[in-house]
Amino acid sequence: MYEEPYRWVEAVGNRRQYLDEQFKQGSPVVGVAYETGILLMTMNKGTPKLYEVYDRLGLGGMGHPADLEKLRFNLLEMAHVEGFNRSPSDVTGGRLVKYGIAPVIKQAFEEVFKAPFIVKILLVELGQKSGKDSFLTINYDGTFEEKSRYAVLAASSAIEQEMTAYLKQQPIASLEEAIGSAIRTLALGDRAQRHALEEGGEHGDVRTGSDQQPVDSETLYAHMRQCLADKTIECALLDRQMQGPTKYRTISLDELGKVLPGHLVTPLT
Amino acid sequence: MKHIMTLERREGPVDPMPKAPRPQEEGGGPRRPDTGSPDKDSLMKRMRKVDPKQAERYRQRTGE
Repeated sequence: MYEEPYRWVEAVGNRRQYLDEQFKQGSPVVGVAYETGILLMTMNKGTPKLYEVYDRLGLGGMGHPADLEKLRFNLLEMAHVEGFNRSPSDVTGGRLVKYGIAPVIKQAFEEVFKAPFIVKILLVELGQKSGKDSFLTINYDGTFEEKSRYAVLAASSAIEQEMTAYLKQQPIASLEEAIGSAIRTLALGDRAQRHALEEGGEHGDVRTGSDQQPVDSETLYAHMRQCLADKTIECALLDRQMQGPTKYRTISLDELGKVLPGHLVTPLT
Repeated sequence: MKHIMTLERREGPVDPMPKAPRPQEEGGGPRRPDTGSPDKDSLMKRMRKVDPKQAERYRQRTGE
C-alpha cells in the first residue's frame, strides 16, 4: 500500500497529525542560560522529566515517558562509552544528537509500519565560559536545532515561537532572574496550549503572540498558581561554580521557594 | 625499407562495476581498524577497573 510515493507521503502526514495530537496535553520545558550556568525547568505530575546525561550535559523531554526513558538510556550509554573509550571532553551534545539519537528518531518516524517515538527532547550542554553554552532541541521527526542562550519545548512550533519571543525580551543574568523568567515562560506556554485545546485548533494552528495582547506577569503567575494545584515544578541546574567534574544538580522545592515570589510559594508547599 | 608489423593491442571485456577486494584478497597490507561499538555489557566492569568514580556516576545516572 505504501509502495506508491503518494501513499508514503500521506502516511507520514497522518503520522505527523497523530504525533501533534499526542503533545497537546504535555507540559512545556524551558532551558535558559544565566551568568554561571544553565537552568532547566518544567512541570510534572510525579514522573521526572529532567535528567543528568553526563558531567556537563542535561536533558529535558516531553512526550511518552517510556519513549523518553528509552532514548535517555541510549544517550547515557552512548555518552559513557564515548567518554570511556576517548575522553570526557569528547562527549559533546552535538555529537550525541547528530550522530546518536537524531538519526534513530528520524528512522523510527519514517518507518511507517512501526511505532514512532512520541518524544521531543532538549539537550543542554554547559560551556566552559558564559556564552559558550549550547541548547539542542530534537523534534519527533528527528529534526534538530542548535541555539546558544535559551530553548523551549512545547506542543506546537507556534507556541514554541511565542515562548521564545517572550524569553528574548527578558533580562537574564542571575539565577533568580533565570528562575523568574523560566516560570513566566512556562506559564505562557502552558496557557497557550490550554487555549489551543479549548479552541480545538488543528496541527498546532493556534493564535500566537503576534495577534494576541501581551500577557502581564501577574496573569502568568496566576496561571502558574492554578497549574500547581495538580502539578509540581521540576527544576535542575548545570552550574559552572560546582566543584568537581559533575555540574548537574536538581533544585529542591525548598530552595526554589526562597527565590520564587511569595504568592507562588504556598501552592508549592 | 622494411615494414615492421605490430599487432593491434586489444582489451578484453571488463566488469563495469568491479567489486572491492575482500580482506583476504588484499594481501599483507594494513587493515581497516575495527570501529564497531565495544561490548556494552562489560562497560560497567571495565569502567569500574579504570575509573571507579565514573562507574559510580554512570550507575547513579541510569538509576541502577
